[in-house]
Amino acid sequence: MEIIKDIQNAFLPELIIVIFIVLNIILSLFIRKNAYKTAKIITSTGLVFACIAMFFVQLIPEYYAFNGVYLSNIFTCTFKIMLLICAFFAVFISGNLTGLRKQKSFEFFSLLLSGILSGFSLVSSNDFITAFISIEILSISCYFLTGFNTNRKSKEAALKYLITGAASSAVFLLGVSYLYGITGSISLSEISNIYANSTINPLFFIACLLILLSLMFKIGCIPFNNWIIDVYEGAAYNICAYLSLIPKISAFAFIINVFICIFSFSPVLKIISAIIALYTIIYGALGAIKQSNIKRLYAYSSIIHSGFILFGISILTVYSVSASIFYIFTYIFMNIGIWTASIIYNRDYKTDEIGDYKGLFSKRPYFTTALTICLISLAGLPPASGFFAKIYLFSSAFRSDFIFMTLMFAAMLATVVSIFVYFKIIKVLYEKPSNEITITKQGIFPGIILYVCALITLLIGIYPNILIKICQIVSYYI
Amino acid sequence: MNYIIPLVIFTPLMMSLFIMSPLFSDDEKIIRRTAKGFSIFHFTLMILLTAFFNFSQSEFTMKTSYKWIEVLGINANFEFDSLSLLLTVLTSFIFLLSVFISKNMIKRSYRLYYSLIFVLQSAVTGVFGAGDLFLFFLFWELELIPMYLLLLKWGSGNKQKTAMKFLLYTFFGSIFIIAGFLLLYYWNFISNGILSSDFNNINTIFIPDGIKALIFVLLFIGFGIKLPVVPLHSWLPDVHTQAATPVSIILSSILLKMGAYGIFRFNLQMLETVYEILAPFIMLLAAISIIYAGFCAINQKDIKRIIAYSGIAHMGIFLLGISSLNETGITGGIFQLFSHALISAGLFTIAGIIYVKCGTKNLLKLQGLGEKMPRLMLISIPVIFAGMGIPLLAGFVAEFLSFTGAFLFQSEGIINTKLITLIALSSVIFCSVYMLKIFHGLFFGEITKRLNKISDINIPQFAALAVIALYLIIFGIFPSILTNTISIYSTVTYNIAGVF
Repeated sequence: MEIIKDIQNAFLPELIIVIFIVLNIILSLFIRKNAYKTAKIITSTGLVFACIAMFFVQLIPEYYAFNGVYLSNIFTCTFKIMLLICAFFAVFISGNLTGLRKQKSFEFFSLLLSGILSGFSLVSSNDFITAFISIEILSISCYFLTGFNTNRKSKEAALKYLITGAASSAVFLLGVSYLYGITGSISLSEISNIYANSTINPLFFIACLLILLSLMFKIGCIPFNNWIIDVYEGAAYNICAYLSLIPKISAFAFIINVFICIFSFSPVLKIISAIIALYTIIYGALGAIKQSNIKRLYAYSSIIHSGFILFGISILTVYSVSASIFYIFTYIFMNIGIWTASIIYNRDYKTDEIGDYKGLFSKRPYFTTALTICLISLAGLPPASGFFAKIYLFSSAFRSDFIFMTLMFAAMLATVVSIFVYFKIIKVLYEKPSNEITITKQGIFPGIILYVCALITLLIGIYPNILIKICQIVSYYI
Repeated sequence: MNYIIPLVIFTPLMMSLFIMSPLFSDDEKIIRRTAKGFSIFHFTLMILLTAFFNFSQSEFTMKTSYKWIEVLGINANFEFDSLSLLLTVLTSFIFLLSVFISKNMIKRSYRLYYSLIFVLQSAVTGVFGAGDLFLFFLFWELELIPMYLLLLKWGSGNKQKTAMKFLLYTFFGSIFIIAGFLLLYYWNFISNGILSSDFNNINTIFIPDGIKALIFVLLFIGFGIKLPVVPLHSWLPDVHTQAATPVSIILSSILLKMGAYGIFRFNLQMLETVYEILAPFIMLLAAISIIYAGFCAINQKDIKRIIAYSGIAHMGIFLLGISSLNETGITGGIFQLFSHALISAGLFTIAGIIYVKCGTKNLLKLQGLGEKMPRLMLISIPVIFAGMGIPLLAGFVAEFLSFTGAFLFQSEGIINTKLITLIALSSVIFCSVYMLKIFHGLFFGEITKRLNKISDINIPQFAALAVIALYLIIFGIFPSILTNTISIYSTVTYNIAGVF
C-alpha cells in the first residue's frame, strides 16, 4: 500500500502521462483517418489531466516517494508546470508542418509525451540513477524527434545528436561512479548530509566536475555545445522549439538540485561554472553574428540564454536561483514566440534565410510587431519581460561576491553583442520589401500562439511583481 | 493633480497605440492632423502644469507613487522638480516642432512614423519624470527601440550601419549605467538598511568612498556616451547627419539632454562628494570636448555634420559649467541645455529645409541662396548668431555664465582649471568660424544655375523658425525668466545631499 500512497502523493501526473502515451500507441493501430487530429486531441487531453493532477500532489512538507528516490515539493511542482506550459505550446505549434510524416502522428505525439514524462522524473529525481534513466529517456525521445523529418539533414542531425549524447551520458556515469566510490551513496540528499560535516577530497572534486560537464551537454553550454547548431538546423521548426525548452528546463532543474546538494560545498566549482556560463554567453553572441540561417541563429541565441540561466544558478544564493527561475519562465514565452513566427514564415514562404524576411512589416504589421516584441525581449530591452529577467539576474550577481560581480559585468558587456544579433533580424523585418510574395491561408493555431506569447511577454515586462514573488518563494523552498 | 504626471508621460504612448491600431484611418492628412493636434494638446498641458508648479524649492515638489515591484523595493515613482519639469516642457515643445515640420521631410509610412515619434516622446518624458532608479533605466532603454527604427527607416545614406551604431553605442552606455545603478541600489541597502531604489531614499553618505568612486565612474561613462564627451562621441556625427531632419532635431535637442540630466541628477546631486574631487578632471575632459569638436567642425563640408559637432562643443560647455560647482557655473550649464536645444533645433530645421529644396547638404555646392530665399536668410540670422554666442541672444547668456563659473572655480590639485577655462574659451572663435561659414556659404555669393529655380520657405516653416528665434531673443534679453528658477539648484546643491 506504500506504493499507492507514493503514487498519490508524488507520481500522479506522471502516471497520467504514461497512460496517455500507451493510449496513443494503442490507438495508432486502429485509427487511420484523421490520425493527426485525434492524436493532437488525445495528447492535449492528457496534458490537461496531468495539469489537474498537479493539484493533488503533496507539496508542503516535501514528500519523498519510492524510498527517497523521488521528490515532490514546490520547486519540482513549479518546474513541472513550466514543462506542461512548454508541452501545450509544443503540441499546438506542430500543426500543418512541412516534412512531418502525417501518418506517424501518434508516434510523434507519444514521443513528445515521453519527453515530458522523463522531464518530470528528472525534475523530481533525488537520486543519480533515477536522474540517469530520465536523462536517457529524454535523450532518446529527442533523438527520434530530431530524425522525424523525412529529409537527409534531419537524419544526419539525429545521428550526430545520438553519438555525442551517448558520450556525455558515459561521462555522467563515470562521475556518478566516482561519487559512489567516495561516499557509498547515490542519493543526492544523503551525499549532501555526508559532506556537510567532512572535508572535501580531490576525487570528489573530479567527480563533481565530470557530472557538471556532462550536464553542460544537456543545456548546451561550453564546452559541449557544438551539437546544438547542427541539430537545430536539421530538425523541423517545432522540434527545435521543443528541443530548446523541454530538455533544457528539466536539466536546469536537476542542475539546481545538484548544485544545492553537492556543489555548494566547493566554492571553486561555483566559480568554474560561472566562468563556463560567461564563456557560453560570449560564444553564443559571437557565433550568432555571422549566421544567415534563422535556425542556426536561434540555436546560438539559445546558447546565450543557457549561459545566463546557468550564471544565476552558479552564484547559488536565494536571489540568484530565483532570478534564474524567473529567467526560465520568461524565456519560455519569448522562445516559443520566435520559433512560432519562423514556423509560420517557413510554411508560407518556404525559406530559412534571414534575408528573405525582408519587408515583413509592410506585409503583415501585427505579426511583425508580435515577433519584434519577442526579439526585443530576447535582446533584453523594455517593455518586454527579458528586460526584468536580465536586470534581476544582474542584481543578484551584484548582491553576491566581488568575483561574481566582475564576471557578470563581463557578461553584461557581451549582451551588447547579442543586441546586435537580434536587431540584425529586426532590421530586415522593417526594410522595404523587395518582391511581392502571395500569402497562403493560415491555420489559426500558430498565429494565435505567437500573439499570446507576445502578450504574455509584454505583461510580465510591465508588471513582473507577482512572478518575481513566486520565484522567490520557490527558491526558498528548494 | 495626482494623476497629472502619469498623464503627461503616458498619453503619447496611448496616442501611438491609437494611431497604430486597426481602428484608425489610413489617410495621410488625418494622421498628420491628429498628430499635430495631439502635440498641441500635450504642450498646452505642460504649460498649464508649469503655471501651477511651485518653482521655489529644489526638492521634488510634485510626486505620484504607485506600487510596482515591491519584492525588490522598486516603486513606480513619478516626480518633478524644477529642472525635470522645465526639461519636460522643452521636450514637449521640441516634439511639437518636429511634428510640425515633418510634412515635407517624411515621405512614407506615416502611421509608423508618428506612432514611433510618440513612443519616443513617452520614453523621454519618462526619463525626466522618473523618481526611481529602475524606472529611469526602463525609460532610458525604451527610447532605443523607436529611435533605432526611426533612424533605420527614414534615414539617408548608409542608414542601416548608422542605426546599428547608435543602438550599440547607447546600449554599451546603458550597461555601465545599470551596473552603477545596481551598485548604488545595493550599497544604499547595505549602508542604510532600506531596500529601495526611490531617489528620495538613496543616501550616499555612508557608502564607502571606493564604491562611490566606482559608481561615479560607471555612471559618468554611461551618461558621457549619451552627452557625448569626446572620447565617447564618435556615434554622434554620423547619426545626426544621416537621420531625417525631425529626428535629428529630437536627437540633438532632447536625447543629448538625457545624458546631461543623468550627469546632473546622479553624478552631481547624489555623488557630489566624488564630483568635488574629480571636478578638475571633468573640466579638462570638457575643455578637450570643446576644442576637439571645434576643430572637427571647421573642416566639415556637410551642414548637418557641422551642427552635430557644434552640439558636442555646446555640451562640453554645459559640462564645464556644472563642473565649476558654484552658482554661476551651474546656472550657466543648465541654461546651456535650453539654449542649445533651441539653437540646434533651429539650425537642423534650416539644414533640413535646404536639403529638401536643394537636394544637397554640401556647403561646396550651395551658395547665394540669400537671393532666392530672403525669408530663410532673415530668420536664420538670430539662430546662427545665437549659436555663435552673440550678446542679447540666449547662447551668450549660457556661455558667459558657464565660463565665468568655471573661471571662479578654486582648484588645489595639479590641474590648473583657470588655464583650462582660458583654453576652452577659445572655442568662441572656433564657433564663430564655423557658424559664419554656414551663414556665408549658404546665403552669399553667386547662385549656381542648378539652384536658380528654388522657392523661398512657406509660411508654416517660417513660423516654426520664427518661434525658435523669438525664444532665443527673449531668453537672451530676459535671461532671468530661466535663471531665477534654475539658480535654486546652484545654491542648494551642497545641502541637497541630505535629501538624497
